[in-house]
Amino acid sequence: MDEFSDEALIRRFVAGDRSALGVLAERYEGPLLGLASGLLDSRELAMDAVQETWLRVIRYGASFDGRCSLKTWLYRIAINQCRNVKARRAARPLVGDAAAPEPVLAADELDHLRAAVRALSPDRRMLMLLCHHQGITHQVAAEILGLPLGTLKTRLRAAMTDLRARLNAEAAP
Amino acid sequence: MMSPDDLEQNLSELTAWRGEAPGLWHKALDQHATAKPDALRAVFPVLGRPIPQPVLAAMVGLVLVSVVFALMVPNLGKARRSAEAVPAPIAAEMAQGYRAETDYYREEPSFAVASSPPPPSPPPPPSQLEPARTSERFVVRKATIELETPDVAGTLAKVAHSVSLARGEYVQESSISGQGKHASARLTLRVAADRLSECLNELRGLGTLTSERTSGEDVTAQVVDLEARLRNERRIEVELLELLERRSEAPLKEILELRESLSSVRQSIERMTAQREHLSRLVSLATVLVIIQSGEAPEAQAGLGDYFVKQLGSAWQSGLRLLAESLAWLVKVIVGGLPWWLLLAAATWALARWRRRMLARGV
Repeated sequence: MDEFSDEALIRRFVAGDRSALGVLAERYEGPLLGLASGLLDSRELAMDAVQETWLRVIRYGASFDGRCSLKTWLYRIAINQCRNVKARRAARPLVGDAAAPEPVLAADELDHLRAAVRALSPDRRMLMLLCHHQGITHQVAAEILGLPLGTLKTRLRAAMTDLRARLNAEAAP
Repeated sequence: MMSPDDLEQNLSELTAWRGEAPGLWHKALDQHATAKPDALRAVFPVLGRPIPQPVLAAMVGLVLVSVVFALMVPNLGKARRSAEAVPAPIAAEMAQGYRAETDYYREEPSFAVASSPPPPSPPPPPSQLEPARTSERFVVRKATIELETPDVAGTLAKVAHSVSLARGEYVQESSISGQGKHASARLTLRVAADRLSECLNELRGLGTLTSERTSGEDVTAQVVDLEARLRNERRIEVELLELLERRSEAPLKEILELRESLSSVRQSIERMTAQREHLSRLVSLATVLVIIQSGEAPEAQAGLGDYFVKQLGSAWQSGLRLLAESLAWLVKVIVGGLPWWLLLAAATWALARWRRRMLARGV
């Protein structure tokens, strides 16, 4: 096994090599933050979720059994942390938080798209963002969400149709 | 209006992270180093970690043992209840062994059999009679012994001669049937109750003992009841006789009625006396049923080869029997414990699912 493969790194970290986690973080922290910010509409909340993700990795790295890839495992944890953060935010809304989501990118077209994605149901939104996230294939997305590949593709098509409809509705005068 | 490619591109942009990663893993490490373990995990540190195979096997074993015990306990309880139901003297005699068991019944019949009703006399007050009577017990003893012998007719004769006519013992019934290997005989002996052990010992020596059972039926309550009723009837008889004597000059009709009543009471007394005699016979003479069957004479010393083959055959039979019993036990556990197995399967499935979820969530 490659000495710097994800699985080797997590094993090294569990064995006490803290720097191994740094290597993993170099690989995944940015992408995880990107996905979390897309799901949570907030950089700050995204950072909370990703920090919690690392905390879970530190605590439960020993329980990683290699039945799925480390990448899949990390994304599962991150998505669940995003859900937790979202649930906490719904329970205790912060002043000025949900009312004005912090723009991640300042572009009109992207804003429209972001608004349309936000209007999707939570599941479709998750599916849409995950399937278009950097480096995530449909196969990996299906593993992360625990769905058969065919089901994922069907749902993705439906979500895309829904999204297009919303974008068209917005574009219409 | 975005083209499909633009849409894909822009969707990808929505989850892109601009700028440097802030090194949150450092903060997480610090947080982990300073965080106190939560209360539950402090108490149960294994929570959330994979369960080692031996521990898992031990847990499964424990559950299995619990299920088996759950199935067995009602039977054990039943057995215990039956054991408790055995009267204390019988339980004691069981503990002392068979010889002690036969000795237990060696009890003299305590009430004498009167050949004719005693002359009417005022019965003593109950307070004088009862204590003596209630302290005694009247037990009807029965035994069944099965013997195997090559000479059924000869053994039948020996058994018949084992009774002591001088002590009033006798052969109540005997029969013989079949011939040769299929010959069998049955005898019902009535032997003195205090000689039952001796008689059984004697019988055991007449052939190969294949089965032996003894039992005792306590008829004390019947005896006490019978005697009380008898005393009462006798008292009535005395009263009627006195009345008849005093009213000798009464009208004929009254005298006839008195005589009729007296006759009825005397009939009752005779009937009860006969019952008492019957009980007395039952108590004083034990009943021994002897079953004699034809059996082969002990074989001459077999050769080593024969012995080897015979032992192997016997072991094979025992093995098959044990296999059948094991399978029967297994079926009993599987079928009898079906609800528990289903519960266990459901619990295992739920636990496994919960663990998968927790691991996936990293919780």
